[in-house]
Amino acid sequence: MKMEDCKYIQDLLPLYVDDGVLSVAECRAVDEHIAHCGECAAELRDLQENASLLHLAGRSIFQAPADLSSRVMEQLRAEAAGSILSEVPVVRKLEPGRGRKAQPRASRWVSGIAAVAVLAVSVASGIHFLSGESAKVAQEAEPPAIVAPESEPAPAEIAVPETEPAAVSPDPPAADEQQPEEAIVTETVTVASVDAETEPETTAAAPAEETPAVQAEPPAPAAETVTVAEAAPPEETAAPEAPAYTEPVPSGNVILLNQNDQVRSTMLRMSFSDVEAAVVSLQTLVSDCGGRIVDTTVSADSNSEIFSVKVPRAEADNFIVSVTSSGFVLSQEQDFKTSLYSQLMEEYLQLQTQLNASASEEVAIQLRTQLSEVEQQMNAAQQDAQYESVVIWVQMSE
Amino acid sequence: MKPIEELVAASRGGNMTAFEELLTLYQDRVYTHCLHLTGNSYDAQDLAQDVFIQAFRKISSFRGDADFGTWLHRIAVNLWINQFRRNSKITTISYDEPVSTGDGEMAREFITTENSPQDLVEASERAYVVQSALAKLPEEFKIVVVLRDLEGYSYEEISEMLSCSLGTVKSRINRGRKLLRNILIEAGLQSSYS
Repeated sequence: MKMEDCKYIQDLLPLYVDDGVLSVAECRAVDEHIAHCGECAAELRDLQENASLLHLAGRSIFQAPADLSSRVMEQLRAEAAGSILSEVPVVRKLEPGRGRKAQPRASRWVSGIAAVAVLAVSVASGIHFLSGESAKVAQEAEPPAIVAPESEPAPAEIAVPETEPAAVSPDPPAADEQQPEEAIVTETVTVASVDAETEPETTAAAPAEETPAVQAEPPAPAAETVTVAEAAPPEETAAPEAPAYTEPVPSGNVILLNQNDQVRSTMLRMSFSDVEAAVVSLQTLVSDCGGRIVDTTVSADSNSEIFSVKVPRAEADNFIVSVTSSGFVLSQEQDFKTSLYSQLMEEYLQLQTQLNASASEEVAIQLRTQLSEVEQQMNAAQQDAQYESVVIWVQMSE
Repeated sequence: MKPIEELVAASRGGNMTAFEELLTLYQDRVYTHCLHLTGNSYDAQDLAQDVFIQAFRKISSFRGDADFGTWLHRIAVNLWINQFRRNSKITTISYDEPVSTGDGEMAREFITTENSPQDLVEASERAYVVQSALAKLPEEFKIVVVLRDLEGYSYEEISEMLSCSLGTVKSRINRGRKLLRNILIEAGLQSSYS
């Protein structure tokens, strides 16, 4: 028997054990080969014996420990009684973001604003939601100005906030088309559960921390919600090293399309001879509109520094005009936090339906607890929807 | 006893008594499945508990067209995969409850179709051999071998449970079975061709 023949056949043998997995031709090849090759025939016998062995072993059912049932029911009843927080299945927390380790603020930003450059480079890249973990970074950052929170929403009345149209660039005509929220990309979202230790955010506490100067929605410095600052961060999962942007910075105007061929953002590219001056200029523009730089990273070709910026929605248009006219490369994310809100709303309605149908007091208690948690998440999501994410590329060399 | 569908429907409405009945019906199967996945009774108990907790929380997402036991197994697989991905230290754990003949403990552990004590001994030994060998497999191969060879799920069902392609399932079964054979040969439990 030729060695190559045996190698080919031996690759097929493990699947030959199961009917219908190999093709007719492959099965024939195996049959013909093992008729003349003792080694392969023995291997097949072993594999078949193993399959039988495992099959027989699988027939044995082990008795569950006597206290398994009681332990499970005890935990479920305790959750229903509210003595421990049940795991919140709803909040989507994504793979952590980018940021050079040299910048402590950026490196500790585990979740935050979405970066359009991520969409530009790879559909599989993560998109960041603002979540409780951002509180860590928020506390490290410059002291946040307080915004006036929206009045407490009655969830049943809240309509999903509409994405504000934003002028993404003066040039590309397609930029004027604002895709509907339904076009928001969600396929890149990595879903994970928030740990039970997450303390619910309380917008009710927000007013207590407001400065008197910021009762009305201000045109000027009001870039951060109290809910961000207050939220107790959930347990951080180990953050894998964020990949650098892999796409080369485009040389001209680029219109990025999502899967539905709808405009997600536009990107302009310009360069500066003096990067330091450009960065200072950018920081000034950001703070002038009440925004803040929340993350920085470097493009894969090391030629551009990329800033993720968060600006109040009301200021977004002005900001974009400012940075564009100052010569910055700009890509702008359409805010899709509203899709999170929609999901939370759905969850809320389902829980409410269950509560209405519930005949058991202990279950009702559990459901009310969950409803309260979802409501708080909805408030947070709505607060987040007040902000727009902007990503700015500053090329480091001409 | 109420049919499974009724118990599931009642559980969906938050009826804990109904869920407890389901638990009682499925706990041995689920525990066994967890034992196959984890390779030891301690982790299997914890995993089984997590499976039922998760099942109650997510029972509204159970579509009645699927088998409830399979759905529970799927939860177990997903929980186990998440665990060993988070904790890369989970490696080979020996099956730590050796068989002893004439020991009442052995009889209590098994609910099998074996009728005679001799059959029971053979079943215990077989389980020990299998678990010891499986424990030496890398997790991604072990899981597919467990699902296919121990529990009899089809390739398509495994592909769905693991959310991977059919090709991946075939590739892992192929590799897993080869590795298992080598492990058994090394352990002297299978004759190698000479």
